[in-house]
Amino acid sequence: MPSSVDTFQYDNRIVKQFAIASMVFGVVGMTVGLLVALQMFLPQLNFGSPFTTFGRIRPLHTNAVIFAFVGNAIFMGVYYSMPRLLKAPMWSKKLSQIHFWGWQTIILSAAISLPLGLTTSKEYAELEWPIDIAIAVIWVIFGINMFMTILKRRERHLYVAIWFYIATVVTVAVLHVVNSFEIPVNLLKSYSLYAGVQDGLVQWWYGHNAVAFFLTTPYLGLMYYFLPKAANRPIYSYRLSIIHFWALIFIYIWAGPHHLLYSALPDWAQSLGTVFSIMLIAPSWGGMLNGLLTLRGAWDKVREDPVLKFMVVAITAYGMATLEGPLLSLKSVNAITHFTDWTIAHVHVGALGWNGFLTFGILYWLIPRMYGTKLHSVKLANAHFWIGTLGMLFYVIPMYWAGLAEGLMWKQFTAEGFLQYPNFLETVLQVVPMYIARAIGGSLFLTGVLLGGYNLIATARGGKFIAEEEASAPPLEAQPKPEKGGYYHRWIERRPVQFLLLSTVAILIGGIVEMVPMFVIKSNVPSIANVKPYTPLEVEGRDIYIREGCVSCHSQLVRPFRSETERYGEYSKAGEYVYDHPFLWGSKRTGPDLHRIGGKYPDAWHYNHMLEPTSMSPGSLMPPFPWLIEDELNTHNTAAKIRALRKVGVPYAKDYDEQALEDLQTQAAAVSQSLADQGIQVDSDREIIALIAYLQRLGTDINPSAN
Amino acid sequence: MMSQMLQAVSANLGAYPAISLILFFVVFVGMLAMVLRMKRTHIEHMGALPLDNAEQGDVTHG
Ligand code: HEC
Repeated sequence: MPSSVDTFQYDNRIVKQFAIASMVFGVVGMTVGLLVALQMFLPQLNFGSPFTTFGRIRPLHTNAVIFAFVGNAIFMGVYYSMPRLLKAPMWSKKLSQIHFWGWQTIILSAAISLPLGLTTSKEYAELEWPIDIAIAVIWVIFGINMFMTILKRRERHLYVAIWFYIATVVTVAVLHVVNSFEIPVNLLKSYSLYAGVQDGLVQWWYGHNAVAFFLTTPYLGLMYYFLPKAANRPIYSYRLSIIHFWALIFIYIWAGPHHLLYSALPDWAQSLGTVFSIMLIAPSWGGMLNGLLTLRGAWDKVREDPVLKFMVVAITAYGMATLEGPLLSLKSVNAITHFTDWTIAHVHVGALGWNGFLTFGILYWLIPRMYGTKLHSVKLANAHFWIGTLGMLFYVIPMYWAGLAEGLMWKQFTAEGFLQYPNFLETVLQVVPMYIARAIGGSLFLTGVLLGGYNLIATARGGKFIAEEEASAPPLEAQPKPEKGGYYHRWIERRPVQFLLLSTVAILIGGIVEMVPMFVIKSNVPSIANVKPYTPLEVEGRDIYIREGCVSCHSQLVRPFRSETERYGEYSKAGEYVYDHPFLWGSKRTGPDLHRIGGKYPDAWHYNHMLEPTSMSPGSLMPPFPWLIEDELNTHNTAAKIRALRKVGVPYAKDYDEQALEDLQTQAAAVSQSLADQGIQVDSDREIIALIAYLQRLGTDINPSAN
Repeated sequence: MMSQMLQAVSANLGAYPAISLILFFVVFVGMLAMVLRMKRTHIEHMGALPLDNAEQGDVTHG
């Protein structure tokens, strides 16, 4: 039927745009990563400036790598593979362009706002509410463009990669919206709607599934498309890929609470997280084996082709990370590894290995084809592969070592029953050589990326860009109708709308089971009568703590182990956090836990320590915060903050916002006086006063004598 | 009203693990059955989808 064949063009321009953005932001994000890695043993590299200090730069690194490097790579791969799998160009070039420029604008606003200290402090969701809204809008535009393309397709059945893309779009939208419920104070500041334990649960439901549905499912879609392409053979088992898909999206969503083991989260929720994490091994390894077995009998090709080499290591890293994750959710393992550098090693196996290497593999395959030429230098690509692999090993092995060492040192008791390392700093200084090795590993990896960038640019220069690629296929109506009924999965494969609904249901079930009881059952967060809302000055101090990213080095969660109660004091109770909007439990202890810091030191100690940490803790690696002493506390928003907090449920009296400023000044004067008594002259309107008030309040409610 | 209802539903938390397990089992077995009943020709068609179209700019595979 030659008369009913459509001809059309695939848009390669948008693919190229996202590819360039991914590489550029990859280099930026990793360079910032290298800076943070260096700051961890050379505090001078914080440069004494608020804009370059660790607590503000670390989220810049994570956001750049996740949303700019990986994000743009996802879009690159989707805009390339989806039209070809559906035999239809993207529905709207205009929407593709809005998506591209919108996403880059969001990245830019993140790059500006994070160093300015505008942050919600929730990991991977740090951006403030106006940016959150922009993300939602752009994401929906992407979703519409994608879905309309699916509806206009010329291939009746949706290939498994497309399912992964659909699940990604839907789930990321749900996660982003639910985790971003916040009440604005003004354009640049908001408070999470949730508090304490509930906020923690929502955040890690989000955080865990962001890993699943931003760093994993779209990349699995890419794997299921580009691996067969690069190997020029179909995936090993299409059946297995279906099982992989459904099992993964159904199980993943339940496992979030494994980030909160031994926390103040109720036990049943913790156990749920562990059980489902273990079950996750099955689909993940199914997927890995499916990828690797695709290459059976073609290993000679792998030896020659850098594209396949990158992909093989990427898929292996996926397998390693998804085996390790469930192991880390076993309570006994978690007791040692949580809050340590082990976590950092774990995420970098995923980020450098799985996401990084798959991206490079795809780029080395894609760029020559879009430019109608061969790769500029296979040798250079091989060099990139080896330097990258070496860099990865140099990164993760020292971090595993450091993590294990930290976990053990924190728990080590002497024969007399005292802590072997009562001074936390000692345990930090022990692992400094590992931090140095890690920075070397990171530099190697980055060097590889730069070689790759050069190689790809040279490839592009040597060819001619094919902006539009001709293709043809008969329209769906002209194709033979599929027989009615038949097997269920064939049925769903040709019904994108039903498919979308079914996968949404699959991901919602786990989320609902986790959250509903947490929000409706009072007994899950037993209230404690002594726990009172923060004073206005403490609220301001807490916001400084959030702004400076103290949470990236300090936890506020004493776990119920003797090694922790001995070191920090009484373990943390769920009821202590009921006014914490947002929660500040943290995920990594580079410094000691601070939940029981209140009353531990005199005010003057904190003053000196914040000005120059080494003055109080010789050899400290904490960055100095001298600007807190010079800068005046901004109290213009104090009343608005009290009103916003009242809205999210903190029981301040009805018109308390009008009185808040006066109370703030009274308390500030008292702190200033106490500092004066200890020989330190500082005006009561400086930021440091608020921070000290907050630190001295922390964790004292259940123990009034500490005040 | 809504929260009262939810409260009633989740008052019996003990049933949670059992419910989750059954739910999971049903979904999983259903999916397996579905997948195993798929026809060979169809599987082959699906698996070949990415390889359907050659790249215009591909100079390596001819
Ligand atoms: C780069 C990681 C890092 C960041 C960011 C950081 N700290 Fe620290 N902090 C440390 C380390 C390491 C120690 C232990 C050595 C010491 O006492 O200085 C420490 C110790 C402390 C202590 C003493 C705890 C004790 O029990 O002795 C306090 C209080 C403290 N930090 C507060 C803060 C505050 C407030 C911020 C944010 C403004 C902050 N830290 C940011 C690493 C960090």
